[in-house]
Amino acid sequence: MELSRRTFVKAGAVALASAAAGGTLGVLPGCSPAASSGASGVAAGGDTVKTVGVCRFCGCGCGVIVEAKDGRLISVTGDPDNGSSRGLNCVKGYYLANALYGEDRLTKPLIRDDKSTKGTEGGLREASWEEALDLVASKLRETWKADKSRLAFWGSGQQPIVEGYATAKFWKAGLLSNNIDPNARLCMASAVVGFMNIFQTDEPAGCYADIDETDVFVTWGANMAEAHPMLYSRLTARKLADDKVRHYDVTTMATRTSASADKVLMFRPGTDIAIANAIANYLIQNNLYDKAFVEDHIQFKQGTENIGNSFEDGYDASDVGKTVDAVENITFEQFAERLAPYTLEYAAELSGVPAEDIRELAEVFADKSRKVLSLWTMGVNQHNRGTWMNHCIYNIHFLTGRYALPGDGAFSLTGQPSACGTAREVGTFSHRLPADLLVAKAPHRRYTEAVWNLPEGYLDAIEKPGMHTVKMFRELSKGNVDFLWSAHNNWAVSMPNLTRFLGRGDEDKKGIYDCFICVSEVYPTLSTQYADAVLPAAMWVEREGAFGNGERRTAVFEKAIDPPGEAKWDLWMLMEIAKRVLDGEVIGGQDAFDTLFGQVYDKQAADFTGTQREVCRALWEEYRTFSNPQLNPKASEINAAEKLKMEAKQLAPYDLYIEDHGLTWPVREVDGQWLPTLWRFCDGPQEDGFDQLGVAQYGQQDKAAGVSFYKSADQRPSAVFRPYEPPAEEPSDQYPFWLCTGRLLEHWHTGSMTRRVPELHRALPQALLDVNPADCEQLGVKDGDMVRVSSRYGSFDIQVSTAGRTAPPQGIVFAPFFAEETLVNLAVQDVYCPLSKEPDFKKTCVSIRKV
Amino acid sequence: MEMGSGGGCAEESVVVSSLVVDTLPPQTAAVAASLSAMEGVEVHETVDYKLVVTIEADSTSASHRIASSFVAIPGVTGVGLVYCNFEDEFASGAAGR
Repeated sequence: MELSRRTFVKAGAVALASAAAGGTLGVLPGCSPAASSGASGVAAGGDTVKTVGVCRFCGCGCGVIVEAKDGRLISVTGDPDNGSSRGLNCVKGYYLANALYGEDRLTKPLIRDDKSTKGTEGGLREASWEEALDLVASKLRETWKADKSRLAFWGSGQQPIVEGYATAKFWKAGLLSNNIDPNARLCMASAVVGFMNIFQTDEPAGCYADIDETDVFVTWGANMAEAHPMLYSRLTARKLADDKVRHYDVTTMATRTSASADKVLMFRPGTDIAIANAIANYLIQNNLYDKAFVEDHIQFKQGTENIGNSFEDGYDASDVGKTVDAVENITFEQFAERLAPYTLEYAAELSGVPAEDIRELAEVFADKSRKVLSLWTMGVNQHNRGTWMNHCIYNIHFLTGRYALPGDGAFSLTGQPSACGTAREVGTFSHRLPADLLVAKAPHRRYTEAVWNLPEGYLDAIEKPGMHTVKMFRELSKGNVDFLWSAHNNWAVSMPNLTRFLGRGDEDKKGIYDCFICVSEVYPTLSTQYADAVLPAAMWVEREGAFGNGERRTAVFEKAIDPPGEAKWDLWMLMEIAKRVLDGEVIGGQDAFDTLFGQVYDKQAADFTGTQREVCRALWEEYRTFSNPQLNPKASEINAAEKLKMEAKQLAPYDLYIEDHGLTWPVREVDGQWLPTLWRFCDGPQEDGFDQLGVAQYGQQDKAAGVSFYKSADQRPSAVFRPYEPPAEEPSDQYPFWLCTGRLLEHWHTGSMTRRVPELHRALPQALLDVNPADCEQLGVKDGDMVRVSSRYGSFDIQVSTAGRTAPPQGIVFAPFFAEETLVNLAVQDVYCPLSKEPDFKKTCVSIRKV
Repeated sequence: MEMGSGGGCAEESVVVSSLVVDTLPPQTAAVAASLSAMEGVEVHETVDYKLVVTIEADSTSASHRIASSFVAIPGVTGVGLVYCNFEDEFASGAAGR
């Protein structure tokens, strides 16, 4: 870089950072990061193009302005106009470009001719797109025609929105199959089922701005400092701005998050429910609850109890498995009675947390002069009672009138960029249709048929939910799945119980080899080592897409550069495979493919009918009809007759998401302006981010705290009593330790993107097992020793660390899951929450011995 | 490394990035001093407890290493990346190393 250019670039860099910090050096002519579609950049001399983007990594959904020159990215800038991140990215932002430019990008379709080579680095040969697509489509069609219960799609919270929407449409309407599920099942299904059970709508009421507004943070089973760095930095900023702000960390081990907390409540795994119930009980017993809020807004319930654990493949169909969702109404007095056994002392005895500390946290919730925000992640959701624990947190917030108010809320943070926008919102779960609709409900199927222009009753064939994720892989390992297509995920590293699912155990060895597995990927991964066909995909800004983050914010990332080699947009792969599979099929007397996708794809030309922008816009506008019933007369009629309240999740026209750098739904049209909503169900001016129009249309404006839960049955969310029931497995002489797995800052998820980066790899080159020094002494191991960790599921070897990023108490060990060479999931249980079917990655019982 | 367009002499490959570093208020000045002492790191402005910082290094990897080391400095509570220019690293079409 020439000196003059370097000086210029640096001046711009300073100006941008100063602006982000609220400083005075931010005004430098020509250095605005502002980008709009195809805007010309200045930083590299006027011949560059800047586009609007969103970070590819976690669920924070930070905005990024991407600058490209001659088909290569040359800079990234935190987008100051993105309301989720306000101009900042975490250090993973350094690698947004590197992640695209790894030397081993997949650039040609690959086919495996010899199934016995699965699980090795070899065995894949290059193929033409024609050959690969013909092969994948023929296998899918063959399976579909023979027995459609034996096919499956495993998607992702990293799949962009319109691609997820099109995939769900192809699977549900094209193939009439519900065997489609996302990897979000592994991370937020418990939050989802909690939302549906409690509110009858799958969404958080709050937003990230609650972090700036609250007085007390309570983190439950969450290591935000590692997993949500930008939100954590907002939390620490709030603490610094006001020395009265407090942070309570409720956790099973010391982490970087607990290091900065004012108080840590360290509990025995699984006993968080007892702690939460003790807090609720204390509030009621001491008359410290918000009577007006409870009276105006809440109904009380209890549900099926003693529900056991999902060890066996037949659990869901067992007597108890079939009844886990059942609930019945009870009175407030009965609810209080159920909580009564949960004294501070009882919770202290179960959890190991001093009764006084639990009382202190209860008093924090009781003090209405201050706002309280609960935040949680996988410690709550990946839990054998994950849905129940979600319930228990909301119970506390309902009793204290702390929900849906700025700074007063309860928030399950998401871990993937579009776990909300795609996995949840467009219906890629085995039991869902777009926009919260359920396959099991006839009016929901009628509404979907109207939007998709299908004959009435056509979707009755998918009334019964399909295989959820764990079931999908359990059945696959038994040889009961003949076709699997996975995209935007790395199941061979991220699934639990890989000893079984990769055929490495004593039983179920054949399924993984017999099943035809298609993997869409950008790099070679362990999953591609088990693939029969690999389809090379365009990545991130190599095509246009959109993500929906954890605070209901939808944001578009524009195409900035072309994909390498023959890598292709996932949507094109889907269209080409759908075209082949549906060849000759009809829906309502019309060509099936054209009925579903003719508006965006010309099958004769083997190409889209317009530019990527036009295709995304067209699919978005169709998807948007689900939340804008007025756009479709038949849908509008069903919406009114069945009281579906579909407008409650209203989405805006596509181009506004680019112009406005992301918008939080519902987005409301007021005098020609589309206004986002930050605080859902909270009455107040729409222009300030409150849910004015929603409350006016469906809710009540004179209720306690100025909130109205108009999507809930009888406008009352449910406080459901859930008892403490122990973890699926408790430590024993044979397996005396708990193994907890999770994510660390440098490596996002399974590391298939971040581990391309040599420096990142060096910073954290291998997965380490964090062990308490006292346990090390007892085991006769020291820092750096290799140990074998074994459970009744499988085992893996790993190096011990006593100075790791987490500091577990005696009896608990921690390992991150990013490293495929360590593959901790060989030993992790696949027991799941019976309600959400989300596996418990946090409490596998293991033995440890030196090797 | 990229060849200069004019005289044909090799120019230094540089990645320029800017960050906002959050600090604990009593230690803001000390953090600024520690950062300024690091090679390639400059502190340009102090806004309350936030520092406006640039890093100049020969690759994004080196820049990341430097930025990641900030959290180990006593008093640093957060490191936010604002801008990263890596035109020397990727614009030539070379693989991302």
